[in-house]
Amino acid sequence: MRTLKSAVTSLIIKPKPPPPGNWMYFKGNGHLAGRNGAYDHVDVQRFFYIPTVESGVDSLKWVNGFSLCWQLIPVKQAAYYTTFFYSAWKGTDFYDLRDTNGYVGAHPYPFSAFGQPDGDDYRLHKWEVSVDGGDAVSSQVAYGEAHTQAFRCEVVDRASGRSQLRFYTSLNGLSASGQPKNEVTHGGAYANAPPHAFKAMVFGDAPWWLAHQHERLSGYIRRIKIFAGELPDDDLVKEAASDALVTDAGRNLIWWAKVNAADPNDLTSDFASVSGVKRSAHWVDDARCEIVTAAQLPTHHAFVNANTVGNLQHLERG
Amino acid sequence: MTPATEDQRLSRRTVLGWLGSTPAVALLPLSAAVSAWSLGAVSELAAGESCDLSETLPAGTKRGGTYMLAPESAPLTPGLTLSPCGVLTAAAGLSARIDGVVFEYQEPQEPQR
Repeated sequence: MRTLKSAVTSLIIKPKPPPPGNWMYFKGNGHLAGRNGAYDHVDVQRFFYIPTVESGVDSLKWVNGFSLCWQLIPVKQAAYYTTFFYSAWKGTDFYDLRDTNGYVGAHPYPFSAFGQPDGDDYRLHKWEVSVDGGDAVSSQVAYGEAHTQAFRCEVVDRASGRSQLRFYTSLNGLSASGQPKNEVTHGGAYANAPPHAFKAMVFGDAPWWLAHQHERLSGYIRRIKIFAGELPDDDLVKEAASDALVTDAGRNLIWWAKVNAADPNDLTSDFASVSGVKRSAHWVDDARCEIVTAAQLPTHHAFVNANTVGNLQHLERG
Repeated sequence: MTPATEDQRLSRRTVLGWLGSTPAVALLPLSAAVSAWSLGAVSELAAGESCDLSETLPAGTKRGGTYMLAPESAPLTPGLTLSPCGVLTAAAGLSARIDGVVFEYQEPQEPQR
């Protein structure tokens, strides 16, 4: 058995250059430890939503499929997260939606919720598809890194509504082939369910648990594009990689987008839909995200401390 | 052991380079005294990234062995880890310079005949 030694080396670790563009920054949930420990309930809702029901018609029906993409830099928090929920923005809760109109989301989910011993008291996470009251997880989340992500709901059987839910967790390149993903086959009960009166796409916080508000985004998000339909996987990957609309399918199906937010109060879509509509998103309450530019990001408190829990500037205090 | 050619040295040293579009490896000239396993005098790694030291081993080295720090090496800074299979990982947000690092690699044992 042979042993080799390397030459004496100096290692230099440099901050990874953040991607260009503005980011929407959301604080964490305020918990310092696990699900049932050290809760610091702050009943501040900090999320925005885009209503899907327009003049009584659902413009983002599950049965037609839908697709979205975004870039996310997660910042570690104890317990649960929300990036987005296809759900309702008020007037219901997770249990009601599970059993009636439906919901789905995709975000980090704590190991410890499965009772896994390596869960670090709800402070380690895997990428999750959240649907039907279940939590399907895949690979481990890396905090403080920009992840280009996408989600696709494809209805593979219109009659039953059976759907393929595909969460691309960390895209790299311009082809869907070989990309890491978390995939769930859904029975389809939601595909033809009537829309909730307040059905919406929600970003930044779960639209339930008002007393807790513990499922926060905790991090930075940008380049959000939502498509009303089943964007082909390769096209969705190309859209995820670009600030502009770059595919014909993307231009035909765009429903709402906010790529490079400059003002948290301006949530009008960056692109008009094929029918000429520019939808607007709305904040649920007075709380807003903070806009962090690419130049500010490397020294922003939450980015610098993205791997730790307990940065008081990051914890939601209202 | 056959000394590495200049092309081999360059390709090895880029393994620890930035994985983005900007090359970040300082291509300093190697001294004649370096051992056959050369990572380069200075190697850079981006925070939040990993690199595989197995890609830096000299040609002809048996793969599948174990990596560690040599006893005389400076310790790695917290947030920088080396797995036994040779993956060097820098935590996100880490910024550091560590001088005097020496890696050690033990080839796998030959199976008994």
